[in-house]
Amino acid sequence: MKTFEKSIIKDICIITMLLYSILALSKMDYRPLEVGGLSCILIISSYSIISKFFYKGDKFLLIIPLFITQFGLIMIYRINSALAFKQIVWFVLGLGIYMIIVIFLRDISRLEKFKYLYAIIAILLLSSTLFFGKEIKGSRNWLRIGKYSIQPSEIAKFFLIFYLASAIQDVKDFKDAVKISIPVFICIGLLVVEKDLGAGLIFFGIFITMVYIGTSDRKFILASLGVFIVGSIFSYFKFAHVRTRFAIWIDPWKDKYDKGNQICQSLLAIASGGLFGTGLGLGHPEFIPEVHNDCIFAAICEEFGLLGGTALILLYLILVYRGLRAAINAKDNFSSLVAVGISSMIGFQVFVIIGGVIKMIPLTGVTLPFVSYGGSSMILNFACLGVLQKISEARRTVVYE
Amino acid sequence: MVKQITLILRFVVIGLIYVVLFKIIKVMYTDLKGSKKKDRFLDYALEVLDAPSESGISKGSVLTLHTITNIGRNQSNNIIIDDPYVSSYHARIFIKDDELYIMDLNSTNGTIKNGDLLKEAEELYSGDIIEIGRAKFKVIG
Repeated sequence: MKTFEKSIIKDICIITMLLYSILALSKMDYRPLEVGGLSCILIISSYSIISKFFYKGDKFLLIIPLFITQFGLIMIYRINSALAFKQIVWFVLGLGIYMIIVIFLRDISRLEKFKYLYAIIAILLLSSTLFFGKEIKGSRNWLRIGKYSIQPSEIAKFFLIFYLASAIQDVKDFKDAVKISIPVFICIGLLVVEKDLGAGLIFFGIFITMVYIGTSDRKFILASLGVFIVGSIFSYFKFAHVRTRFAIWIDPWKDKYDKGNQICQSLLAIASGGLFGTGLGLGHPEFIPEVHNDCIFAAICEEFGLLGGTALILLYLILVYRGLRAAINAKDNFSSLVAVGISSMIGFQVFVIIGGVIKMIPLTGVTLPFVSYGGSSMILNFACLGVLQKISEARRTVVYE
Repeated sequence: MVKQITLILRFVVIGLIYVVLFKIIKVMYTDLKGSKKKDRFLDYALEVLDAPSESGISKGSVLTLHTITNIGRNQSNNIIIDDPYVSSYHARIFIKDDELYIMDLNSTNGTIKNGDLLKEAEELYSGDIIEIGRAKFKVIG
């Protein structure tokens, strides 16, 4: 088992070095190799710490995200090397937080009792951008602290999962379900007002998954779907930005030089990649607006081809599967629901952004977990992984005890 | 020239990515199969950590456990330790209600589990260390 894991880590390092050496060759510069070496050191050291001291947990919950992160780092480095150095700093910080959580979080079920606190924090975080927020790229979902901008909606997600995990267990009848869903719908409403529709969709996805798994009652799902549909129709007629997004989705080519530019360029990029891609460094991802962030999947598809893009989606699939497996084996209902929430968060986030880039659903600006450039998203996702790792560690031992 | 190399290397990279994916899935598959097997059988074993060379069991070997496993110097035992410090019928490891227990059979020098002398039948877990005479075992499973 362990030798297998080691050989996987070795292969990941080989792929990383190979990709950076392609970049080094094409730029005739040794600096990509340094970045590659640094990434490999990070991969190996974080894996060895986990496998040495926390061997009980599911190591794949670390190995797969490390691999996924390399896709993002190499792509960001290829697009804009200055950003990549910042991203490595975020990556290191993320790993640091991951380690802190794995080392210091003893018993996750102790966090269960603060349930209303979580809801209040989530709502405060989301409403803070309404008052102190700054509009960046058409969404009012950024808080500016000194030199840095943070995205409170990313952090709110984390608290929402904890709130739902502790609240859902008390649901006995329909009235309880309505009561616990009020904070969630307040959050989604705030996100719609702030024009962060993607995050709203993800919040709803997390909510519906956790409610279904926590109560296994189809009635609640139908009810919340009904509320969601009514809410979307209402916001379609009420808010202009929702209508714009929708119109772009229906026909991006109509306004291909302005509003539909991003989606048109990413579709062209994916198409020009073909099955095997143009090869690293040979595509033109710089044509796509926001390529290091929202549309990074289009750039990956262009340079790694359909096969590379599919591999990335498969990796996410395996990651979500491992998360759900940790949920099944978790030692109590609270940790099980938290694991479900985190896995569904990753799953829905990937669906919303990849679906948006390939024009399956309207494109909304959310980050591709572990791949897109962004500090808040990187750190938060690693924090979630740390919690997941902790849950997988303290699993029920049915057989031996 | 560089362009050609890049074009060739892209196949290598994609191939390697899929090799990793295949390996991950393979590990998970064996993992899934293994966990099912453990639910049905209790396959515990004893690993010999230390034993005198003349005792007849070699260091590093793995001894399988049965529903009842008798340990002692006498030839009718399941695990025979030819060591003067071991009694003829020294200890018994048995499975009851799907759980593993160890019991000392009133031996002269006693049986030591995780550093403590056994008084009555005690439950065994994977990783426990058992000392019988000069031999030392670890429960694995």
